[in-house]
Amino acid sequence: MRPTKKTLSYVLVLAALLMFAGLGGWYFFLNRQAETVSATDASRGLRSEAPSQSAGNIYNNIVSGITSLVERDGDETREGAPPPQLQKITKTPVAGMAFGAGTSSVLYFAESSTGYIFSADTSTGAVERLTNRLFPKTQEAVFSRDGSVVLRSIDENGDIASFAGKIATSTSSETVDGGAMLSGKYLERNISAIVPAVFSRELLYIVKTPFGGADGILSSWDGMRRKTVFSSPLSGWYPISLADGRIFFVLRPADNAAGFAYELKNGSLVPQVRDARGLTYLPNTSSTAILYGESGGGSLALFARAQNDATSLSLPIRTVADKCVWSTEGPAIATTTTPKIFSKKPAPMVKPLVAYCAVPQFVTSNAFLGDWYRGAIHTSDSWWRVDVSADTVELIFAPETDTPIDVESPIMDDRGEHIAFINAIDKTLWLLRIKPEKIKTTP
Amino acid sequence: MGTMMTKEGRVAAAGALIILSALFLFAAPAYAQFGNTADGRLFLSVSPEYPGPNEPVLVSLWNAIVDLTGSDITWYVNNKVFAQGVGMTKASIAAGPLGSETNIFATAQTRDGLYASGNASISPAEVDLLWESDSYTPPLYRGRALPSAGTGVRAQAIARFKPAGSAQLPERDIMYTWKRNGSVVASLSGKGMSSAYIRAPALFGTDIIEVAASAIDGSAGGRARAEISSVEPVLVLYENHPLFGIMYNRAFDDTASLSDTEATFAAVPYFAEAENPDDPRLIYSWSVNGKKIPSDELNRSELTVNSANSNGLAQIALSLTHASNLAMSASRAWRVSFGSGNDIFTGFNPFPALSE
Repeated sequence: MRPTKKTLSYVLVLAALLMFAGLGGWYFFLNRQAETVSATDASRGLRSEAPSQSAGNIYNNIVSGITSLVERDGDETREGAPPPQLQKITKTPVAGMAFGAGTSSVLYFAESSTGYIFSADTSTGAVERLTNRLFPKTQEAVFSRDGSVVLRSIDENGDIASFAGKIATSTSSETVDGGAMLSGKYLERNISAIVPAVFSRELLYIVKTPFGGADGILSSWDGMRRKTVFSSPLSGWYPISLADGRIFFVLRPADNAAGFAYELKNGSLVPQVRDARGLTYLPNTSSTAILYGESGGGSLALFARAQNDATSLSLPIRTVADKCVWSTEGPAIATTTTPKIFSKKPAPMVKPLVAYCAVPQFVTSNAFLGDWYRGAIHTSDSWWRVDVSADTVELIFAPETDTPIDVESPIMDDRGEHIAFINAIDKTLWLLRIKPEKIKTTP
Repeated sequence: MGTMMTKEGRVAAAGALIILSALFLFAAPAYAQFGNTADGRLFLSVSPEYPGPNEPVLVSLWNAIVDLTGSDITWYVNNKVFAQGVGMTKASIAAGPLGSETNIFATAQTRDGLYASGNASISPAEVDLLWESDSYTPPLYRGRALPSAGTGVRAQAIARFKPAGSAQLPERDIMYTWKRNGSVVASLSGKGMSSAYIRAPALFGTDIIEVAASAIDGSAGGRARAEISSVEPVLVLYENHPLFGIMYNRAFDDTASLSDTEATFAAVPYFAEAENPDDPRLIYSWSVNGKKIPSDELNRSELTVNSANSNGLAQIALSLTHASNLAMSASRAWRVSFGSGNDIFTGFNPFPALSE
């Protein structure tokens, strides 16, 4: 049977309707996608107006975006008012951060998704993107004091890639698009832990050997010169390098398992802490004081030792040394019980042995370290000041209960005024202002 | 160095104190140690057998022939009288610091006038026993790899022997004896054998690993032990985010909620016998809402779920076994709600403006 003209016209009308419906659907789909993209951009701070520069979307998204990423507790900051004690610096995850040398207000950080390096002036809120070289999915960023950085990520083979670079100066010809090139080189694969060796402007890292062990390497930033300073048949070590030149190697911790920390002295391992369950370790620069934590039997304990031959003191706060940072407060003039009024000798300058620790308000796990390292649990921390010399602790900040802060990788500026840290819950960057302590003087 | 003599000999014995130094010069070096063991001579034993630096050491005297309980006993430590008393057959002495040698000399005079003496020296040493497993942990994991059945344990002994007045003994001059549950593992023991690779304890088992280290000349020794338990592999699920990669900081809890309608999940088998999560020996069995999902051959540890045409609720279940290790098995399930506008499982949303 041949189709009639009427049938044909029905088919045509139906086809036209279907076509209009499809186009409509496509329109709404595109519109929805655009809204999503806009919302995403807005969350990163993209201005609603069109970018005025011709530099391209990525540049503008990030630079303009990051300005609005600087957040001050609900934007309640008023002109002239002091900044809040706790500030959220970024909304998006960061891979690492460092304070500018000698400053308390400039904070450098690497964005996790892009590997871009930014500087944030925490007093003014001004943020500047410093680099424009893309390092997607940066898991960890390690900064040195001179502006060099190591960006670490996992490649498609599951290997650790570590790019060691230096930020080009603003006058450099490499500066483009408002950001500078990050020039540098990839270091060898599978560096399991790396820190800048502050005293020698080198890198100190642990790299696994083919037979399951590890070597500790001192290397130039370009990886061209390297020296093995430590070897072990075990691979699970992490290094610590202090500004006074001391180097430590610590066996990675596990709840209930004996942990060990050693100082490398003249090529030998000198024990610092032995046989401590679930050991986390934090040595102090310029003194032999240490803080160390233990995790065993379902509970946490923190200890302080003022010097090498002193007895360890159990502190009345329960946390891990990973959540602590030694204070960089300047030296205070020592007070004496019987001041010599007519003495012409200046009173000795004594650096107080003070640390700041984030302390979980509740610990819900019997195997805290493992669960915390795996991201299976998070804590809500308050900040405590630990005076090791005086054997006292003092609560200095407890965040709002609706804003849990799980402190990770805390660092302190050179002036001892701020602590920057990552909130492990979402990897955002935060800043805590420490009230400067009044300095006591002798008469 | 012990002697047994009659009363006449006591005159000579009275000068013993004067010549103690000389005697020590000829004393055979020993760690924790005994003087002469021949019949009729004083025998000194120390506990612990391998004392560490500055540790208290209990030294005991005995003699098979002489009744010491009624004897006048004098203890000398480094040529000085340390303790004296009738029947004082035990003395608590502190070992010196690393690198020191503490010389102990004891004399006993019986009611019958017999005289006996013996000596020992203590050279404290330290031995640390460190261990880890070769089980799988992610590349930047900050904790230690723990053993599970089928994996191995790498152990390292770090011994510190410093004979008085000389440098620390090098590893090659130290004899290591490894024991597993009390039995010597001969293949791992020997001169300079400071490390060992041992199979992990059986499923749910605990092994006691011990290492004894002694100087080849017998001048010092120490030991250490560790109780090592096997754990079950821990199966953890993370989001493999297109911008951030695998978000190791946020493990999915049993119940989770995501703002997106599509997500890629990455399973990480902590402490499994594997080189990486996609190790061909690992067998992943994924299911979503009870329906088995064939996994991607290249990324078998990952699963992408798109909830666009569903009610947004996914019951994700994962079972993990091992092709050659029958003891390895782990399974877990997660209830994930997609497109809920908020990441409830964490309160985490890297782009909070989206949900504001």
